[in-house]
Amino acid sequence: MNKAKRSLIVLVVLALAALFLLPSIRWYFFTPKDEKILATGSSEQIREYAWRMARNDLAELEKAARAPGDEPLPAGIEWMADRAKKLYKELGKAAPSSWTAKSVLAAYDSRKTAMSDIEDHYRTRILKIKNLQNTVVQLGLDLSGGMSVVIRADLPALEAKLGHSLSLSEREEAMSRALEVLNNRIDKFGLTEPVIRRQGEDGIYVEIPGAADPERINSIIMGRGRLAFHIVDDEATARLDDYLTTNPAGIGADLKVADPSIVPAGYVVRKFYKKDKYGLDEWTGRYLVITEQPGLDGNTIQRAERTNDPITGEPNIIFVLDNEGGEIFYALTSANVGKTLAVVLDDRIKAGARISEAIRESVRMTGFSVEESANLALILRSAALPVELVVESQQAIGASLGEDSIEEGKRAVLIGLLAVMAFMLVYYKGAGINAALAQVVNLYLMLSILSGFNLTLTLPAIAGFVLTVGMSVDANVIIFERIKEELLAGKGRRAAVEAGFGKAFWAVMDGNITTIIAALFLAQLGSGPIQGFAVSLAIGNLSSLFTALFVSRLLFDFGTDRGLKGVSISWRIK
Amino acid sequence: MKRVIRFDRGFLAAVLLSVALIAFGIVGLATKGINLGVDFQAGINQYVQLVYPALDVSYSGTGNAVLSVSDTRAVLVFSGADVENRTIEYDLAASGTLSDLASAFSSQPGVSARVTDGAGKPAVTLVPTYQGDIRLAAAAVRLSREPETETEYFAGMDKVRAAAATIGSVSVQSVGERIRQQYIIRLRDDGTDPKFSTTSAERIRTALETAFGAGRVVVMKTDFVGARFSKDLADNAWKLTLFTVLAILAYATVRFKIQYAMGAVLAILHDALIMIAFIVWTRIEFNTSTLAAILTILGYSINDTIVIFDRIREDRRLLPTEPFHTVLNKSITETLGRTVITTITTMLAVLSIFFFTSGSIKDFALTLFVGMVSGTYSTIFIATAFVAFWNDQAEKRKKAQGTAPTAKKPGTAPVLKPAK
Repeated sequence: MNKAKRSLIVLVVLALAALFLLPSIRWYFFTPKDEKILATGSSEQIREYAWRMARNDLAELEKAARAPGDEPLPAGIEWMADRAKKLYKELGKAAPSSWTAKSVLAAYDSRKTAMSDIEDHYRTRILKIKNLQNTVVQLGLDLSGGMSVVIRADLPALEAKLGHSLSLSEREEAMSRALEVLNNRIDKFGLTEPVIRRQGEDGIYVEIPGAADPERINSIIMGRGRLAFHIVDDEATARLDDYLTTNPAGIGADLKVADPSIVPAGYVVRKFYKKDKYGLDEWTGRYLVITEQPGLDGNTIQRAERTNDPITGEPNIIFVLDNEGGEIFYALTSANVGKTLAVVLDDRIKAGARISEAIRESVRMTGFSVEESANLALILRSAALPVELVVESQQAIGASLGEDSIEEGKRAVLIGLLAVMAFMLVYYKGAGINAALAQVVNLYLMLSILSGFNLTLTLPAIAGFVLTVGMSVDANVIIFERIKEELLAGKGRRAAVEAGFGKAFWAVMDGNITTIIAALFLAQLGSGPIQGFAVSLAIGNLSSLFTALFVSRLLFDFGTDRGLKGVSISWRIK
Repeated sequence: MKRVIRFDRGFLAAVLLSVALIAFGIVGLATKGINLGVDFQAGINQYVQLVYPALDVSYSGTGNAVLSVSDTRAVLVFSGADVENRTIEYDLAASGTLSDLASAFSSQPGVSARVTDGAGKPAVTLVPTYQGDIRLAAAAVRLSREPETETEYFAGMDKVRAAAATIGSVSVQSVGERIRQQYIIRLRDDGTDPKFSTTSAERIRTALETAFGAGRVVVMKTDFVGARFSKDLADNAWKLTLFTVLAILAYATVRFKIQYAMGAVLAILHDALIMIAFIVWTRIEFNTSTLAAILTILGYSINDTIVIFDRIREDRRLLPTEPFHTVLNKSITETLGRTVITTITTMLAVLSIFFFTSGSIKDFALTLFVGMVSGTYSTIFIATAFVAFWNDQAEKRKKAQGTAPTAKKPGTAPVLKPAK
């Protein structure tokens, strides 16, 4: 390969690395802290933020539009002019020369579209930042602070309770119920979105960044999650809707309404959720007023399944209650014909269905989409499989300890790098510059791979980097020692470099491949921190192969072509 | 040309030394046992700090108000739909006394901060919010402070141990500066209490609060590992070490000959055993970090060995008529510079980890350091000694089978090559 081609490859790799690194730099250095807090929130919190912002902004816009004369756009929502311009264009209307509150509002055909449009604006803005966060180097819990918990579903206890061993599908259902319950509850805590992952057959891994109160996890995992049926007060719900349109701040995070006349005694407000396309709960933006006491407890459900209506082909959900439950349900439904029945799991409304007639044990629900009905059937079915959760391991690290660790890590990397570079410069003189440069490129490549592949940086991973800095010089050392030998044997610069790289090639490869083998096995070791270390070790080895065999070689060749005759590589060789 | 060092003369002594060291380690393992960390021994490690209550902070405005305190700064972030988004930072060293800081907090709309104790103490004595960022609400949250002077010091190992002893057999360890009153309390899970995982953290805190008063204990960090988890980890650790060794053995067999592969694997097993001996006798905690150090050395030490083997292979091709021991010595000598320099650069890195980090990473660096010394030594003496031994045996066997064919070569006669 000629030099131009090789230089091009090096430049392409460096540019690609810069591209990988860019999102991380933007997130960690150029995103303000308050936007970070919003973006790290759960999707529900983001939804709620957009919901409130839209109501506030629209109220302000309407106020300005109602005022006599042409009020300009209120401060803070000037961005709406651009949006309005687009809408005017779509409608084929001529845009006014200057945007006023009135003309912007006129762009929307109804209050509802205006509302959803503004909501969309805020949501996309925050989701964009959130997406950015998902493409950057993640900080492990030991650096960001937070809590990681491994939870096990106690399936043997459930089997003992049911009196029979669980079938495979029952196990899966019990597990998905446990996950559902955890998802429900953990979302209520903290400001950041938790990670909840199935681990193995009966384990669940939970990670809550930022929060580190070990006693709080107990409230999350205690109990099995409660499924119940409640009656919805449709009138009060409508009243609440009207009230919130004008008073978006009228409802707090605890779902208490500021105006006490709206929700009658014995009733409470709950949020209504749908599954999004990832199967996660998503708040629909609606609140329902339901009875405080459940009309029927879900543990009376014996089985539930999704079927298709034989005539219309529409998806149906059929669930069967035990005798006692059937009696209660009959009394409940006969007293509430025409009203809505809400299916509530741990204070979250999962579905609502109109009661058309009085029903006993066998209940049929219609009017749902295929997916909705499948989800609902699963929720109902799993009510019969309440599984206890047990904490297997738990690690909680305070955020400020994490900050200290970052500082320590930075210092260790920097000083380690400087010490190694200084040593190489002293020992190998001119060639040392070459090695030092290769190390800087190496560190840069390692960071960009970490960022590009969205890997997690932990303190052990930082240790891995420091170690790689020391170890990866090895490739340079092997090559330099070889070049020295060739020079001692009387070869000139070009030949010595050529032979040095050629003969050292397999030694470098063999050494690095065995280390990478060890690192890959290390990466399999259960817990997170060691994985980080192993991955960084493997990455470091790979990138050092590139820098030692490619970048460093190129630097030598440039020197040779500049007309250098000797190699400044040792104090003993002139 | 460099003078060839007769490394093969040291083989016997080296093997004896290594066997002695490893035996010493095994004796220690049998008599003293290994100091298993929380990863491998079910139980809880609770890091606590004993403090004075300092400030009560509450928030009555709209939106989110989030407060976090680190060693040097306090940060107040307002966010959400109903509040102007903003971030206010306070440099604790420049914030004067706690009551100055309290009034600075209170100047923000909706925030109210009240000093409960130590109004005149400097703001830097504030204890960080270990439990993460605090979301302020109408119910006040308490910030604590650490003792400013020796007269305010109220903990001490004996007192903490006595307080913790009320819940069972615990071990207590002091960490950090004495005046900061930080301790690790360790309670083992013996499997008798089914509620251990959910109650033990609280039990430790309650025991300390009974002894030192309510609000005097701040939990910094909690690690809990259940019985099954630690067992899984231990099983995995064994398997992984085994598979790593097998994979390296396979690769080395493909690239070299079987005796080289076995020599290399023997050398890395040697390093692992030396490190275990070190861990046993220094009572360093054996946890995932130390395990990682051992596995890393497996990869690191093999690197050294392979480089020498690579050289032996090359030299044998160049000097096919020389006796094996001569080639061996020549190759080790030629690569010695490289072996030493690589060890030095890696040690520089490891030492920088050792001196500039804290906690389990420090132990990790120390174990790694020992492993590197052992790795370099085993590369030169153990791996090569095995290959030399194998070769000697093979030659002996050849001679025994039939002296005629091998003795034909006259070129092999001189055993020593004159050194220049």
